[in-house]
Amino acid sequence: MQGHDLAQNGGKAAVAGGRLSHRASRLGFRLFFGGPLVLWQGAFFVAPVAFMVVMTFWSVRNYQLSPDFTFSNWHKILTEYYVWDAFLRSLIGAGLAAVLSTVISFPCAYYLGLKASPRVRLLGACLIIAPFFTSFLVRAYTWRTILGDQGIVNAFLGWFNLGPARLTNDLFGTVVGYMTLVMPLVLLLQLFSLAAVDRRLIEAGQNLGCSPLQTIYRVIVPAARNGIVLAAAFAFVLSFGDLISPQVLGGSNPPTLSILIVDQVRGGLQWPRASVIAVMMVVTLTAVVAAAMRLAYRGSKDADIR
Amino acid sequence: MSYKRHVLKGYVLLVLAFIFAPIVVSFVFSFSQNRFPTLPLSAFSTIWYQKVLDEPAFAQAFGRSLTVASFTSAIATFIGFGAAYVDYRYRFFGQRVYVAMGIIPPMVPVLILGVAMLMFLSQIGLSGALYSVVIAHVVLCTPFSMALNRLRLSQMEPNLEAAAWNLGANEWRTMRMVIVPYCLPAILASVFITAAISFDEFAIAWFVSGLEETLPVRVLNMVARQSSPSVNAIGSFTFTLSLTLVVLAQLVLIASQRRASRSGPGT
Amino acid sequence: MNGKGESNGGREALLEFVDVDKRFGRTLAVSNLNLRIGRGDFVAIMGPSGCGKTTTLRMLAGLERPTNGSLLRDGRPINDVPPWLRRMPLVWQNYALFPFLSVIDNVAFGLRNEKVPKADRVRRSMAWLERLGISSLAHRSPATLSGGQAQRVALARALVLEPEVLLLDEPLSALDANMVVRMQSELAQLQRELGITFVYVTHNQSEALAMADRVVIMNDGKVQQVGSPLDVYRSPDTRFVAEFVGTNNIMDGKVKSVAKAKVTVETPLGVFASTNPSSAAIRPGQSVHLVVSADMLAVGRKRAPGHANTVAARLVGESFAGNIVTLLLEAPGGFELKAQMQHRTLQDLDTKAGDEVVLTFESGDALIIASSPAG
Repeated sequence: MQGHDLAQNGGKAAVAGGRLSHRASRLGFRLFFGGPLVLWQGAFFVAPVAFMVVMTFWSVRNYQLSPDFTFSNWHKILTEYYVWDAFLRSLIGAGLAAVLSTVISFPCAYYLGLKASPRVRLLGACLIIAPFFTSFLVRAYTWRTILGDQGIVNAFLGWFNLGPARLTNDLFGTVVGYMTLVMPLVLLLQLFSLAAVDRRLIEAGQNLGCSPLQTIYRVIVPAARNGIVLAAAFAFVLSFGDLISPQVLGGSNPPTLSILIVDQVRGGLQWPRASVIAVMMVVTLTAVVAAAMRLAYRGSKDADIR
Repeated sequence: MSYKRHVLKGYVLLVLAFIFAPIVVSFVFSFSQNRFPTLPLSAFSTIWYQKVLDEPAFAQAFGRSLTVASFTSAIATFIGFGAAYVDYRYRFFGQRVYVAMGIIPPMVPVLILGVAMLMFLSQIGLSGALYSVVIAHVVLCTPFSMALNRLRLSQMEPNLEAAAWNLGANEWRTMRMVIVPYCLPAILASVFITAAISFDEFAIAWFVSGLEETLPVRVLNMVARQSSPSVNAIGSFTFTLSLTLVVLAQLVLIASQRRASRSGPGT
Repeated sequence: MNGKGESNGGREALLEFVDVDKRFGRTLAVSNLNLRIGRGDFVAIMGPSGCGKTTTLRMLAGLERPTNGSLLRDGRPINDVPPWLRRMPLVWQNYALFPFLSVIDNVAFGLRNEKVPKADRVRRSMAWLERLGISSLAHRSPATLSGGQAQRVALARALVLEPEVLLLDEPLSALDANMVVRMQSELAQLQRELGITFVYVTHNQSEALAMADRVVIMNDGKVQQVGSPLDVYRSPDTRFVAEFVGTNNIMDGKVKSVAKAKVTVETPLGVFASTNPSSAAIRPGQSVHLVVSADMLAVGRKRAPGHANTVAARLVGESFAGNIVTLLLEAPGGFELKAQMQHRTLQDLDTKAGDEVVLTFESGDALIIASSPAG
């Protein structure tokens, strides 16, 4: 190509007229490979999100969306009881999901990360990764068939003449849904953190007379604190924004924030209001994640052995 | 001592059982003749697979999912590779922001991305079509491609690129003859993984696709409306497909790993 | 301090650095570099880590651009010529073979860039593989090669292009000792046969002294001395060179008197005479270094008459390296000295650790180097 032709002149043309075309070619090279990311993400990620914030100030009159600068959407949303109710519901649901998934996953991650042989650990990790590539939707739906009024569990209970249990269409179902969503991720993150704990710390703890339980509480958990907190934060974020679990397994009513957004968008094209709720979500999540980061990374980087 | 260990092992199995329960149950019931999945199990039957294969709507949705996944995978892999290379080779002002653009999208709740994309794309008249889904999926998948390629590039012998230049290859030739061949395992892996992600992604697709339903969106609509065991069949299909893609990606990566670890200089 | 290297026998300079600086951020990696490299020269650039030798080589290859100054080829500036147009192939320290190409494809890589047709590529590549004794490896993968084999592939890959200039960046540093010796003689022989200009960077002085026509010693980004291996070894220009090359004893002192051919220097170990000052002008009272090579120190049991330069010392230890033994001695005041001799000579001396001995050296073997802030 260009560069090659100049080479055949023994580099002489490179000094004379080639300099400009070198620079241009090299700039073109950089733009060709580096440009698309900026263009695409700029146009289709940054812009939409920024636009959404702008949208919160627009108005809808007679089903017509028009650019505006009004606080009426904010006012309407922030003063509605059902919005805060949904907010609380989302918060509690996500919080439960974060705590439960962390607590339930821990013994499992502990075993695989610290007690099992490397082979078993690898097998465990592969098994945990598998669900990432199934459809969460299908899994949630399947839980509905398992837990539903005419589902497997109730059929099973029916054999023993036990009354039908209401497992879906309430908080229990929603939380099961959240767990299905986040457990693999939480397990994986905890597994990596625990497996990475310096064995010498554990030995030191045992040396100083800690029972296995005490070792866990005083040595291992502090050492793996970052990973555990991070996993819980992810679990919270994912659950907070999930709209499948509350819908498919939770009965949709009373709604969570995610369902509210969908409702606003679908019925009435209330995009400004949906945007307000979305911005509320983002702000909440940012605050939670920031708090989690501070919790995870406060203090010294090494584990404290108290 | 060992009884505690057994308890722990049992617990682990329980947790894994919880995770795999819906997958296994879905798979089992995809072969159940009974319309309503419940106990006791009814006769073995492939009727639901048959139904899925026969109904044109499913085939259409499947086709759309494949189309979207293919385009997404191609575009996201290219953009992610280019961004990873630029981050690897150059130091420039605003590099952190650049990298951030390449890794933040998966951290924003899909719901919000979907809503934001819907609003923005419809304002500029690009929503409601399959390409809308492609646009949105590329935003979501590019970070994965960028991460995979960046990792691979960081493993490259630092002077490999300079060696190619030194031997007379200009930047474009070097890219074609050295960088891309070296990164091929990561490029292939990102093709498969971005395809898998796009194929399964439903939330954004649902918002943005309008009437052009991709497969997961069709499933979502079905699930919202009624119970249909066809969903089980579809679920098993997509699971197998995604799993195949991921296994392929793994094999490619492992094969390149093995070739590299046959020790010796010049790797 | 001699900063300019003149080419051999009046041949014109092929490559020339003129007042070149290279700055990385705030660090000055190379400063005020003036160097000429002639056609057919084997130039070794030598120095400790961080001295700027690799940066210099990379500037030749076009991988770094001089911050100031010009790099000339055949008199024309090439500062802006990109690496792929320089036609100065580099043999890398870690070989940098392309792992996804076979050996022969690696070797043919540069030929492909020159659009040489396939048949010719294969023929020329095979010819070089045969010449370097590795033709049986043609279709192997680089990952399966030993260090010495990979080194030769890297060499073939560069030489197949029949370049005017070959750059080598510590090519032997990753090889084990016997391979190094073999490769050294092979490289030197190749260079003589082909008449190519070699620019060879190393931190290993025996490599440089064994193979090169001209040696460039660098420290801290500056050229300390340029000359033939013998010049650099026997006539160091600066304290750094005296310390870095060979085994020298260096005593700091003041010039006491300057006569026609003889200079006396007062040092903590005594007053010594030298008939071998450096070319710079010497004045009485000037601070200088007195340099005596370890193999110029004669060791005796008692004071012999008629020698002007003697030092009494105590034998502290021996360092045995085959034929040559290095004696470690301690002079009054704790000053450490080294003497080198053949093992046979030591045996004749019949000394043991702790013995008091007398060291003597000829005034013609004592060098005087002017002290300067830069050393």
